[in-house]
Amino acid sequence: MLKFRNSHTLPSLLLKIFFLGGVNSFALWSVPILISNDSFLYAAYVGLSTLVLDYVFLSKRFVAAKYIVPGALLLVAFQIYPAIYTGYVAFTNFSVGHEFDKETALDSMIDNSYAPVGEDSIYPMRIAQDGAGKNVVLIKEKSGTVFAGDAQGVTALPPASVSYDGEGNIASAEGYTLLNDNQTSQVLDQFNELMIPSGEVNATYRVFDFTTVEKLKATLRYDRAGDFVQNLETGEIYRPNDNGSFIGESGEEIEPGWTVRVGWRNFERIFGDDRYRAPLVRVLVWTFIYPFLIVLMTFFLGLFLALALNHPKLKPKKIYRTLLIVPYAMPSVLSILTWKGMLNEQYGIVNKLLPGTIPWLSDPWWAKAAVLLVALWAGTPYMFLIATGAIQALSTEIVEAAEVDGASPRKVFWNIKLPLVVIALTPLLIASYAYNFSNFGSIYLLTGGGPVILESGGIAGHTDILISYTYNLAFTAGKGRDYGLASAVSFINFVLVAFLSWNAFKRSKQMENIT
Amino acid sequence: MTKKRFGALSVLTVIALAISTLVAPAQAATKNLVIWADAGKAPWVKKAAAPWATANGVTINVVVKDFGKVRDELITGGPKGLGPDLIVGPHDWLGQVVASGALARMTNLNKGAFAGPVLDAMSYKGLVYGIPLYVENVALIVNTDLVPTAPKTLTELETQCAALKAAGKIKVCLEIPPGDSYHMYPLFTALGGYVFGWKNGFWNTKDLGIASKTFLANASKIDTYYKDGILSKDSGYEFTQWFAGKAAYMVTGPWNIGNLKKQTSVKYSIVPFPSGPAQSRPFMGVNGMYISKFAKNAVVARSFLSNYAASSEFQTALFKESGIAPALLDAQSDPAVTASKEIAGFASFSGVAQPMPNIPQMGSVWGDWGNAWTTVSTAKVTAAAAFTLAATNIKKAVG
Repeated sequence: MLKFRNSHTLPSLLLKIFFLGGVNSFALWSVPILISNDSFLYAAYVGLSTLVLDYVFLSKRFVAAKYIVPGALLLVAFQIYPAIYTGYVAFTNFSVGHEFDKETALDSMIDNSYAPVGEDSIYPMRIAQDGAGKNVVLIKEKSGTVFAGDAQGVTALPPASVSYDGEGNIASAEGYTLLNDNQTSQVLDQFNELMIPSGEVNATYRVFDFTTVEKLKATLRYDRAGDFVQNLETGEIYRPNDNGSFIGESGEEIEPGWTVRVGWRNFERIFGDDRYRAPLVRVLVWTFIYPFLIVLMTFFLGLFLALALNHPKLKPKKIYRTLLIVPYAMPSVLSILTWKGMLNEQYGIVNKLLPGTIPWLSDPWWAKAAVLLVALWAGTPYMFLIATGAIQALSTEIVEAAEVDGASPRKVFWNIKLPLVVIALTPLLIASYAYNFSNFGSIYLLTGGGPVILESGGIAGHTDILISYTYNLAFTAGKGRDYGLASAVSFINFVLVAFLSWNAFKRSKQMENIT
Repeated sequence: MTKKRFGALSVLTVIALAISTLVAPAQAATKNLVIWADAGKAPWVKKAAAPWATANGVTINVVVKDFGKVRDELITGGPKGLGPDLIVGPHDWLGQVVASGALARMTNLNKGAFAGPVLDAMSYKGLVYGIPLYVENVALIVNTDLVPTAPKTLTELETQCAALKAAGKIKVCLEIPPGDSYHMYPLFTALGGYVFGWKNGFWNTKDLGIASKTFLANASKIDTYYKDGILSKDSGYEFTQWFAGKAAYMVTGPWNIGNLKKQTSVKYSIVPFPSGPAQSRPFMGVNGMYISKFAKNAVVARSFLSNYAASSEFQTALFKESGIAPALLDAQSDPAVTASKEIAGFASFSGVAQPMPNIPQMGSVWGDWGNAWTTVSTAKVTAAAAFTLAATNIKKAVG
């Protein structure tokens, strides 16, 4: 085959060029967009990652890095960063009513405080160009006087200098060139946020639509020096509190608030508020039991099937093995939803086959059984696969030696095969436990966490595990969305999973030393 | 850097530049309007807005958004300039969006053009947001073969049910999805319940009516209904029994008009739900069009809303697409609308409708309230106990 320097073959060289070309074009395309959206962190990350990738792949020195770096970069972007961000959100009050920064919240609050002045606050207007080529708004006030207005204020035009058309709209004004429809639409963007001071206290004109302005009066003002908001009608002062809201002397809160760091408050709420704490204990218990039962059941069923199918007298092994892997190959979302249909109380096939009606999804205990049953269906093929591998890797000598020593098949299984298989598979069993510990999909899709624990105020259900409980919290607690609180729970979840995995792997290392 | 590597880099750069020009976004023209709507409403809005767009030289871009995500995307994308100018959505999420500061109020609106409850629905803390587009409420659909005269009171309904049951003509009398507070609301109010008190344009969260005195006094009727088979826990949104002619009544809304017209076996009339100890009221659901606080084309958006969206021309055009009653009073009396006996049937109950509360606290209400209905349907707990528990939970959550 054709050889290049750096010992490249032609296809691998082309592959490399296209891979790096793709990476670089992605960076060139996305970095300007990210910068224009003020996402400097992402822009810097994409830029730096690209440089690192270029350097690693164009250099001859870093062979190992070529394998590690792309994965590591993606890991940081899609695993580590979200984890850190979730940790950060756990210490904020990010929720409905506190979703923007203070500036945006103030802006929205003041904007919406502008109320129309009087009954007919709408006046005809034309956009025109003054002598200096600047675009101004010609406003025909109620009194009939025409004003030229811009961001600085308004100036009255001498009545004689303005002429009107048949409908009383401004037709011309001395010193100004009126813009036609087409010209107006081209400059319209300049007037979206323009506030024209009307000369009266707190009153402004704003371009309302294509042909009119509205006269508005602010009811709130923000005092930047004192950092307070004042109601211009009642004089009431609203000061910021430590939860990112302006609170008045009467205790009234102005919406919206903004996002602030609140320290451990979310955690205090989880452990201090009855509505969260009471279900939390039940949810936590189930969160530990659920993955344990799954691992136990799937492992033994998988091992049993593996042993059965490993029997030398069984002939069409391949067909059986393929069939067993089918549930594993099927997307879990599909199989869970299929099960949900089959377990339906009134129409489901399972209940039609059974005498009587089992409340699969509405009774606390049956719902738990249903969740485990589906997990058993989905998880066994995996255990079967790895158990088959482990059994086939067992050295036949030990087994034969045991048999020669007169051990019964049962003894061989319990004392030789099982311990060896368990030791070999422990890391995978731990991984499976950790995976099911936060297996959101299988709970959410099948029962949605339900049936509801009535005392919890509808937040938690009998089959909820910590992560699905988190989801409920995020989308139903408080005013509808409470990301801060939910992040705090997922933070706890993360700590638990990390601790369990670390601890378990430490123990499995000790076991390896024994063997 | 060696010459060779420099060469390699320049080749890469050329390829990268070539690819990036292919994907560079095109620049847009002058007068634009971006509208977000869910997949169901987007085509209606697009079609009904087209004449105005042509007349005013505006390019209207109707973007289809997942119904459940409109709000979240507005809040995340809006401040970055990625949001729309206008959003189409149900009024009951208004509070959540306004509380976060993502909507701009409607400063000038011809209030006389809409019915009072419709404007109440579109208001949050005394300010109106957006323009109401169309209104929905549930009503009682009577199988007229089984029940020639529609019941005026709950007592009449009970008598009719008992007679039909005795004659073995029905499996269930009144089909309502059991855990659904929205569909149950006419029955709930007929027995004296409500959600929050309404005072001077504000929902009074201190006045919770989920377990009001009148309702608790009458709540045992619900238990009796489930026991006597007037209601059934097996009812669902398919209204299987009613469509099979095995139920005398069902409670549903205009979204089922299509199904009603499609079937020919059941003759029906659409009437107000009968009143009991108290006046029966449905929830009024309003779909409106709102201006985003982050609108980049605010002037165009206001022009569209005040000059066209609130016009009979637009709302009638929208009705022809959607088949749902328009919110504008003028459009409601349009012959195209009044010709539909189904729309008229639902409208006969809308006069007493109450706007579904749109405050963010409703998030805490729906869950507990629905749970109460579900438990009651399984007859494990009495209605009085279930709704008292729900009210206690809601009070804690609302604060």
